[in-house]
Amino acid sequence: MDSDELEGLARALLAQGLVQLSIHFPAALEQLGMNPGNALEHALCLSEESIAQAPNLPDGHSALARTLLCHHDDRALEDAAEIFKHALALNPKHDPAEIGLATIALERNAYDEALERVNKVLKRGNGQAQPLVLRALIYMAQEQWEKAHKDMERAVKLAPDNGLFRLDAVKAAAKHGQKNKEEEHRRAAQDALGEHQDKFDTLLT
Amino acid sequence: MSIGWDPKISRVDPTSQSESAEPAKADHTAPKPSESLKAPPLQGKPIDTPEHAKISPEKSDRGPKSDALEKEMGTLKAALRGPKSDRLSAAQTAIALAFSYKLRRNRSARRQGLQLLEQVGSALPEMNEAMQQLKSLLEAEGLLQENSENATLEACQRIIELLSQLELDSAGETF
Repeated sequence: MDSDELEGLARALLAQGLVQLSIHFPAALEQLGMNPGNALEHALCLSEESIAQAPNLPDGHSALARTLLCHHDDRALEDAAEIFKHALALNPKHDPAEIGLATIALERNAYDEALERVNKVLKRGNGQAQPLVLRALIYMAQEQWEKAHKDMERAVKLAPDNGLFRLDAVKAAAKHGQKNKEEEHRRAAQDALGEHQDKFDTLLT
Repeated sequence: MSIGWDPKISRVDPTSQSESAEPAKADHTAPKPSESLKAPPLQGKPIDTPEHAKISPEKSDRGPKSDALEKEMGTLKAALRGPKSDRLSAAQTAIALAFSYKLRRNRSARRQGLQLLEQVGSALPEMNEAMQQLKSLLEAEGLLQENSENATLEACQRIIELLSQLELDSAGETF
């Protein structure tokens, strides 16, 4: 590891952090003097700088592709897929790239591929909420509510303060007929999202 | 290049952009001390395990137990206690290992990597500052992986601070 790689990783992780804040906790960006729009612009620049500094590090590539996933069009999705694949070529066990490709597969309704990719990550012992949420979303898309509920219960225990995850947990619990859990997650989502909660109600339908 | 929002992917309503750019007005009410604090554990009684620490992965979700990694770590730790030439070479390998994604994937792997860096810093005090920088970055990555608001914010702040420090260091080398 040289100083370029250290800086490259730092920029990639900062890009990842800014995307995470923009999507899950946009109000917190104010403390960094940003808003979701310019935070994503920063994330894009940071990930490009990361790639320039440490081109063999998959983190910069995955951060760039993850930022592109926030973009509106199919072209961005295609670009993101290519970049995630490049990250996997650099390290075939790079979880963020595998999760990114699973997300894209889900978006394209390729459930088998999405499930295969996310299971790879979970079997490697990833230990984070994100792949569990993704697998729950795949199960939800297939109307496998029991499995979705089980994964969401595990995910919210790992990331109890994440309001969007709680909303997914509300949906899974409701569809699986777990009224108490549904209420518990709904209250937690309201606590976490506060005034923003009503903007996400469409996700529950 | 302007970045828009795809609610299907980012799961954020586009209308939230302008509003969330405004000062946060979230209705956060701090819990009363009586609700948020528990009495200290009684002597001899087991301490409660935090809720999130009770989750154990499913059997199939456990990472493969790597005897090779254990062995490599053991060898490195021994070499870091050896003569200086061994320590230098072991330090390089240890740093590369701690930096690798394999030791950054999850909490327990990261803990091993951080311990290794601690030992490098003790074995070679001249490398201690660089070890602290790397440790700080790896800890920030751990915070990001918690996926909570405070932890993500703290991670970003730590990385911004580290990047400023690294830029200052490299400017110092230039002039």
